[in-house]
Amino acid sequence: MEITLQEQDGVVALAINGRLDAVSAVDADKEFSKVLDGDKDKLLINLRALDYISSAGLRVLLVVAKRMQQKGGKVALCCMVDNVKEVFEISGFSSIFKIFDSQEECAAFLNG
Amino acid sequence: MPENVTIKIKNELSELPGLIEQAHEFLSSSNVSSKALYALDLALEEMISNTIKYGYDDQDEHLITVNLNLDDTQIILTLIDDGHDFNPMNLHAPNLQEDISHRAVGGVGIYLTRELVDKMEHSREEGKNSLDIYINLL
Repeated sequence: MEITLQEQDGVVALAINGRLDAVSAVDADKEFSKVLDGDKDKLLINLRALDYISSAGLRVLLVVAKRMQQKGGKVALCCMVDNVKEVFEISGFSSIFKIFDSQEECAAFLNG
Repeated sequence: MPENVTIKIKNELSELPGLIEQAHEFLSSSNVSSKALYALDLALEEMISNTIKYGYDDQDEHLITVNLNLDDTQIILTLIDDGHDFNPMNLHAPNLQEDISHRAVGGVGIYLTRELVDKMEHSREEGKNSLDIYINLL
């Protein structure tokens, strides 16, 4: 798993590559915490290159959503591949998160 | 033609990446859909991590036996552990309707696996759990 970070127009865009599983969730949690500890309140998570997510990975994202809500910020996801999308739908996580097909729509929502 | 492999791992989460790599290697020459492969990875991770976290009363080393059986239409994954008697089919589904602030952190791994695989059967024999998980190839 690899996480890359970009910032544009006040939106922090984070891309997760590879597999977010029970083992890599620990590192992902640390990376997200760095962003959440900062003063940015708009977080875009791009999942285009995320091949696999398990419940441990979903848990990391849920914690991100909870912390962002507590500090009055916004978080949105985009660009899921089909297998990952199915996991979000079955687990009910697709109703917890704002999810968009493209990064542009996602950024527009965060800046809206 | 049916094929078969048995892998034994210790009750540590750090065993999972190597196990999943071996499972992929075993299936590499077969025509397995990405959906079936996802279901297999999820079943391995969720079921084994659950056993490691909640299956034992002691801090001792335990072995978990993983068997993969492949035929023309399906993968049968069998997991055998000497942890508590636990049938994942008996677990209640989590409440999926709650909003962010009320949503419990976790509790969805077994539910997800049950939904993504085609069939699961649990039995208890001689102090061991045996879980058969069926995944259709296409």
